[in-house]
Amino acid sequence: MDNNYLVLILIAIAIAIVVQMILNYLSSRRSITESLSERPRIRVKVTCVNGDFNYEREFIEGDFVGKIEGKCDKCGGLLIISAIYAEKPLTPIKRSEEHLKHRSKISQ
Amino acid sequence: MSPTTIIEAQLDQLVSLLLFILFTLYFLTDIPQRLQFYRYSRAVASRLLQLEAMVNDSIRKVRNYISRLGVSEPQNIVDRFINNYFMIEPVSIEPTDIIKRLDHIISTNEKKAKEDLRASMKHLTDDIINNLGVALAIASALYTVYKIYRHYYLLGRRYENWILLMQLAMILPQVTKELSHYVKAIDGIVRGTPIGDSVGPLVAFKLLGLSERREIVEDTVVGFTEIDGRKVYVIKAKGPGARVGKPGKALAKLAEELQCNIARVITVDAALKMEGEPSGLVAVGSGAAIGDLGPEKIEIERVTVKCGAPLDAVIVKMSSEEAINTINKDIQNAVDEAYNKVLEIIRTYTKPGDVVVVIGVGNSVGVY
Repeated sequence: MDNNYLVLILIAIAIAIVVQMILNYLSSRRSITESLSERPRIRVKVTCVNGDFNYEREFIEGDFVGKIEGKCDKCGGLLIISAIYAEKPLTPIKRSEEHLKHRSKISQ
Repeated sequence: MSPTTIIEAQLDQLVSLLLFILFTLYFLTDIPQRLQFYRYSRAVASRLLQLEAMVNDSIRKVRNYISRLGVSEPQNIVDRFINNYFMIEPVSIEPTDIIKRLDHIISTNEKKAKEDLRASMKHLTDDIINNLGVALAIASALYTVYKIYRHYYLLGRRYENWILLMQLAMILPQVTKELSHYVKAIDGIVRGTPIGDSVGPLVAFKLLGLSERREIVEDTVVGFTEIDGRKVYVIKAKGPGARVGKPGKALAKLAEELQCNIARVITVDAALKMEGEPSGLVAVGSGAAIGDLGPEKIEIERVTVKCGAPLDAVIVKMSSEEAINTINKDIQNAVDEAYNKVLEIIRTYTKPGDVVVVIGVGNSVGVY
């Protein structure tokens, strides 16, 4: 009877090791695939040269820092792109955290 | 004896026999080494497949970009670029003139690559040609790394060297992860967004605004502004295409024009942070903040020594991933901080009427 227990324990350990190896392999593959598929949201900050007006918008192909966007409605000064930056893409965990936060706000 | 007892006794004998066989195989044969060899060989092969997929992904991205630019047969351009334009380092056993020789080789290679691209895509602007050149250089670098690891893997297999395969199996997860950032970097370059390495040119832009720039040496511009009575010349790579310019040669030429009348030189650049340090940390030190192979850095040092001008370094710390990908909010905020540090240095260490040169070192992609 003791041998049976021993065999069962050994089989359980072997299965646990195999499962662990498969999970490790899959997680390493997933982390690289996920990081490659992340596409950050790129924001553009447009500022009046006189500093009295600014707004943000999405990036459009051809934008660059220093590009003249037009004239300011407030003072007639030039509106130029003063910054272009990427917003950090949300990881699946953060995405679900954000989702939960949003849900909790709604329930309040 | 009951049948159960007989079975248990036989099972005990069987387990003992099995243990004896295992012991013999493990200690008196090379089966464990063969198993290790097989295990590491599989692990390396799997990582190399991932690496190959990443190389193919980067090549596909560049090819799509070339197609979008209206060029027929983009694969030919990629094929030509991916295996060519290598550089052979100059002889270092005789160090005389080594910087000149290195500079000559770098310039020759860069010019050749750019002229070849321009010849096959005559209708495109210089900025787009530069962006494409950098994207192709990234794909080519990824392919080179892949080739090197594949070479060692095949060597390990051919000579059944499981130690070599084990080393590859240990290092490849880290290499694969680091190279994945380069694949993503192609997106930023082809879209023409500023990258982390653009902090120097971004600070230069903040100083110059839209004021006039002139091309002082190839791919490098200089502009002029006044800050609290100081005459400030700002050098940066020509934008908004992906260029790093020749800041050292630009400073040398400017110093010649100004007859060495320079009170201070300030260099601003991105620097790699240590693990654990926060991104976007701005630090001030002395020396030339520039990470080229040597020719530009030594030129800056020589000019400042010749003119007796103190040389400051303002650095913005970031990871290698941040340095090559589209600039993020933390680094963007650090640009403002670095700009304020430059102003502080000018106000604290120079007098009204002095001539100051600020060099925004780095890639000018997405920055005028």
